[in-house]
Amino acid sequence: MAFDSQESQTSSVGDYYESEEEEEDDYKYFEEEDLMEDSETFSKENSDPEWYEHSCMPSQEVWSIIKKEVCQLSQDLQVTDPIARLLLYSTKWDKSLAVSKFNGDKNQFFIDAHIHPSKPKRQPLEPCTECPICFSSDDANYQLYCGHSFCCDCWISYIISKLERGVSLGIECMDCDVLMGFEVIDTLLVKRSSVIRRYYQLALSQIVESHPLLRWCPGRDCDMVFAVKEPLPKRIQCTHCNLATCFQCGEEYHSPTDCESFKNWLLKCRDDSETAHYITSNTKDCPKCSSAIEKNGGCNHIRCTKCSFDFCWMCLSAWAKHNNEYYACSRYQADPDVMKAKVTKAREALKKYIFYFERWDNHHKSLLLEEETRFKIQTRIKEQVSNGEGTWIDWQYLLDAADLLRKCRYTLKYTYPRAYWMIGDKKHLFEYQQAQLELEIENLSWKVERATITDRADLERQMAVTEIRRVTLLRDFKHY
Amino acid sequence: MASLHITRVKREFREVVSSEEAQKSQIKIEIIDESDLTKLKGTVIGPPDTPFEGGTYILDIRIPDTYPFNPPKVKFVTKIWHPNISSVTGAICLDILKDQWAAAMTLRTVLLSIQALLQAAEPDDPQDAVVAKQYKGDPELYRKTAKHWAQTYAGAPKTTDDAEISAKIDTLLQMGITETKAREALSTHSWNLEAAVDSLFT
Ligand SMILES: [Zn+2]
Ligand SMILES: [Zn+2]
Ligand SMILES: [Zn+2]
Ligand SMILES: [Zn+2]
Ligand SMILES: [Zn+2]
Ligand SMILES: [Zn+2]
Ligand SMILES: [Zn+2]
Repeated sequence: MAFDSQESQTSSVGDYYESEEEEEDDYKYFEEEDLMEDSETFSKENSDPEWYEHSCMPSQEVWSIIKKEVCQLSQDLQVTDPIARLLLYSTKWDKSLAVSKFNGDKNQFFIDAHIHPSKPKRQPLEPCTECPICFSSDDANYQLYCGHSFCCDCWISYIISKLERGVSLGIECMDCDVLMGFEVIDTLLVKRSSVIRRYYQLALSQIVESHPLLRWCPGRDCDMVFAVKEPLPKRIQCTHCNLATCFQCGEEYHSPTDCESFKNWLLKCRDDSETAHYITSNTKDCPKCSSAIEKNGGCNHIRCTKCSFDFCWMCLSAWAKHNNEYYACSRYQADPDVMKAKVTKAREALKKYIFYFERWDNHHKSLLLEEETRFKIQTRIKEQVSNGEGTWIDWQYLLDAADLLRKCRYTLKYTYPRAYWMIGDKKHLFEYQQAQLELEIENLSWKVERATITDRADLERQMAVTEIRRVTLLRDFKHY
Repeated sequence: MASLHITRVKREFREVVSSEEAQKSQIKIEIIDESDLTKLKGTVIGPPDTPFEGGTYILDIRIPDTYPFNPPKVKFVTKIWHPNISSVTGAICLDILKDQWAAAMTLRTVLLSIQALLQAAEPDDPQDAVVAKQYKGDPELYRKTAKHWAQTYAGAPKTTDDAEISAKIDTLLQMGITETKAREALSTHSWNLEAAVDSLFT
């Protein structure tokens, strides 16, 4: 059985939850500097708000997680593994839901899980050796649990036609809605190894996509899967391609912004016509949908390209109102406050967005530059070491500083979408802490760029202070 | 050995021809070209006590080479006014022609299901939103329109006097509109001449 062959390549599930070495590194700043004397008494999560128990594994290892979950359920419910797997598939791998449904209306649960057919068989099939699909009697028929029986060739052609349409776990009987389990697939496809491989490949992606505690690494061509114990909008970092992702939404890691706000922020940024139009002086905002409109030529009858609203360039009211008497719009101009208020509101909204976008974009660019700085430092260390001035270990603190700088800059970048959507007193406090973090990051950046001539103790002090600011902000403004 | 879909079509063709329904000339299936069994012509007779009664409906049937693991592609050639069939393209919204298809079904099952659809429409799963709205909102008008289409396009026996309808169509014809377009516009706008004219000239 394919399931078993997978298992032989993998280690036990317990290995996935290894200690987070990278996270350990971050603690030494606290310990060395005595800034948080009681840090050791804090649990990992308390001392590092970004700490998140997760593991990253090659996708094939998911099979042993699934196998373990299936085994547990089959033992608890005293059913076979194939049944347990279909039950879990129907509850999207929610074991406790499966147990409670099993203890409730068990018959209905088996129908919902497509283990029992939803409708009784239409007619009893005559006991003939002929396959009802191809009418051939050359080949032995294979009977599914529901009693429907077809020749193996027909079953195989059917499975292939389903795989071509991207269906795998959901393949039903050819004559009713009973699902074909792995053991059926394995039996029928025993001589078709390429088809079976395709089946399990599709099944695996479907399992990972539907399992609440698993997520594919979104890295390009990356085959790694993350496993967590609790789904949260926190950082998962791929051990293969290094990409940092938010477990909850699958976007780039975006703490301290929550998933919903971050999604809205990205949507806003993608629509950068807003930004471009701001620069052109000849724009106004559509009074209906607020998107920026550029005026071409002298005609004052404007149609919004986005919402098709027809309006007057001069007074911003609906064009229909001036159909016959164009200059009626001066009447509205006589009341400039109304018009001004309208325009100002839309303008202010745009200005606000530009403000946050510029900072977001600036830190994004700085982050790329910090990348270069790290590379330069590496080159410089290499020179120093080859000149006999110390060893790599002696200079390691410079690389640590560059790494910390990138980490802090990353967090700072993602504070801007959060601030953009914030309101009230909370926003003031947030922006105060944000400004403090920004200040320390610029200090650190200055010192890292001049690292080889900066005093080591001074640099390390700066590192500690900056990291404290970052962690404090993350802890004070949890986004979940 | 011929491929499976061809073997099946030959067998199913015989099944339809010898079926009880075919004997009563309720359904029919014809081969268009002996050398290409993937294109067939189906016929369904409008069932009694429906606006389609006595109409002859021609269907275009295409057999994919993955048949019977995937359903045949079927659409109406004869124009029809029905919530689950597009009044423009003839496309059919029927579950067994989509995800509810099972390989053990046959062309006979398909033709009988289509006939059943003419008997009992499913306006909650519409193919033609305009027809579905009329079906639910003004069933009397729906019946009238569907019957008019059946008499015009499917050769259903003339049992009602359509003088009013004919007059409205004639008005549009005089405005240079084709008959099909005129009928479509009037049917879509509940036989309101003014609304139909508006839709045609804006
Ligand atoms: Zn067969
Ligand atoms: Zn079955
Ligand atoms: Zn990756
Ligand atoms: Zn997220
Ligand atoms: Zn104009
Ligand atoms: Zn607009
Ligand atoms: Zn005006």
